[in-house]
Amino acid sequence: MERTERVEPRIPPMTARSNWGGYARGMAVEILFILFIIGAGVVLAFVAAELWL
Amino acid sequence: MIVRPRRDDHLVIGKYTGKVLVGVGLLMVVPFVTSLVFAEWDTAVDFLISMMACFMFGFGAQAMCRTTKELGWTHGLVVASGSWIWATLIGCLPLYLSGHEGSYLDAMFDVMSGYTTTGLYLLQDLDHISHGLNMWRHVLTYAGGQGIVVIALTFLFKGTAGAYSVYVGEGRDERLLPNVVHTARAIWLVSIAYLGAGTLALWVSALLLGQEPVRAFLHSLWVFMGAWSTGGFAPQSYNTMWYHSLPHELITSIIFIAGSFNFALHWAVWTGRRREIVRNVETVSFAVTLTLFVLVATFWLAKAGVYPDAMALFRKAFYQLASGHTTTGFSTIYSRAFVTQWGTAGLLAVTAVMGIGASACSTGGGIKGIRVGMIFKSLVAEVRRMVAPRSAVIRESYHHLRENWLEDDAVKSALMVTVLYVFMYSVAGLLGTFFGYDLPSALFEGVSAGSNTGLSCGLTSPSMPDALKCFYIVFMWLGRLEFMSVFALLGYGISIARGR
Repeated sequence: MERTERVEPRIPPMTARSNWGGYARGMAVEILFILFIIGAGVVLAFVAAELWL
Repeated sequence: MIVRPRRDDHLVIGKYTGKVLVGVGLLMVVPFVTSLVFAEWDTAVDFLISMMACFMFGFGAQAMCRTTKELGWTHGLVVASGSWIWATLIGCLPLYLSGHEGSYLDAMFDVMSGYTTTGLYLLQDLDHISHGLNMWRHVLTYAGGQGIVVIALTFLFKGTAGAYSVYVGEGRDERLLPNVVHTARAIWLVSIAYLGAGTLALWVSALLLGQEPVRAFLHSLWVFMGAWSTGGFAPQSYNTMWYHSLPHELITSIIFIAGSFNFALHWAVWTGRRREIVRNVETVSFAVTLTLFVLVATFWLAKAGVYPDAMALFRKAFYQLASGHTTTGFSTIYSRAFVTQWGTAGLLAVTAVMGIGASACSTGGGIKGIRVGMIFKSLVAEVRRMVAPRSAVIRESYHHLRENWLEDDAVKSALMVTVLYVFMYSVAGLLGTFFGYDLPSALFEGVSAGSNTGLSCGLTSPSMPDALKCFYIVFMWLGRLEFMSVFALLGYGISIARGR
């Protein structure tokens, strides 16, 4: 029996209108992710300082 | 094998290279207007001369190379790599004419460094150059981050079929949208949106530091351009250290980390696929390697007692490593501090993250997170294959915009480019030792040039040997274009010489 698979499109479909609200939310998500990475760096620095300073 | 190029091939390459040169001339309008606004007449004349040169060569090439032939795959790659050389040769005119460069070679070094978003520079008396010249340095790096060809694609190429090959030739292979010109415009949309938000945040921070509004705006704009393009150029010779400001460091960190993300990832997140940011192999790879090397460096620096408290330790260690990993090149320490304070372990940690670099199809350079992720996954698959029963079928996948099976061809390609980068880094390090520098410093500086980072431990200066300047120019060029289009250019030249 043939089995068809639904494949998620690799490229987001081109929309006729720009979605500025969506772009702003996307930017906010990216900034939050970066702040999370920076937060991890802060924790590491404090652990290192606690151990050796 | 490349078939011997015919007259038509030369014409189509000449025509499109001419278009890119016109694009470089149009870019000079920004610093030219800046010079006029600030009444810097000498600088304005320098830009006028340089713009004329760009238009003369650009329109001249198009007039001499009239052809109806469409841009093919090989042409695109040759145009991409060749354009960077021509754009450097002519784009350095304003810097050379300013009198702030020791030689034409030094000016070429700075312009190649700008285009390739490296950030190493030989310009003298940076703190006292004109606003126009500073604007040109940063426009160069901002434009270079998007790709000179992306600019040409956006405004000048009008969607020719071969445009995609020029785009790929510039070290990018992601189509954000089905049409490559729309892809180029989407890249601009992301960049300009961040330009607005980032410049505003930096401007507020600069005002709070006490800078007067106009100067604060110019600094904010330039610092944004240097950070977003992961270029590393800054308006002051002390780079980020000049500001001594935690908010400034935080904002620039956000900008350069965002700049190091794949444009396809930005587009996916911006168009509603928010979870992509925590699932994508490149962001995961970046988060893991950055955390690992921050761990090594912070523990080493804490043990060595270089910084007095945890906050100083975090600010110095994280900033240099994040800047190195994103191939930005901003720094908050003196160049020589990498050698005199950070020691061999610290120096090698920064060298390693610079070598790994940012994401593919971003403004950054280096081996790229996706390749590191794929090679790591491939290693895991091999180990699983070894321990699994012989009849077991082991397949590994990685997430980049969707789940992709780890195919042998993709791993082979990732390994090949990684080997080329490692080879280039090794040659760069060895060349540095040949010119009399110690190996860790030479490796650091060579990797910095080859990965388009721009952090310096003090080797790069106007007094360095001319031959080493030339090598670094080639490494910056090779690293930015990821070898293939440069090899295509070489193949093109060889096929002309050999006659087949």
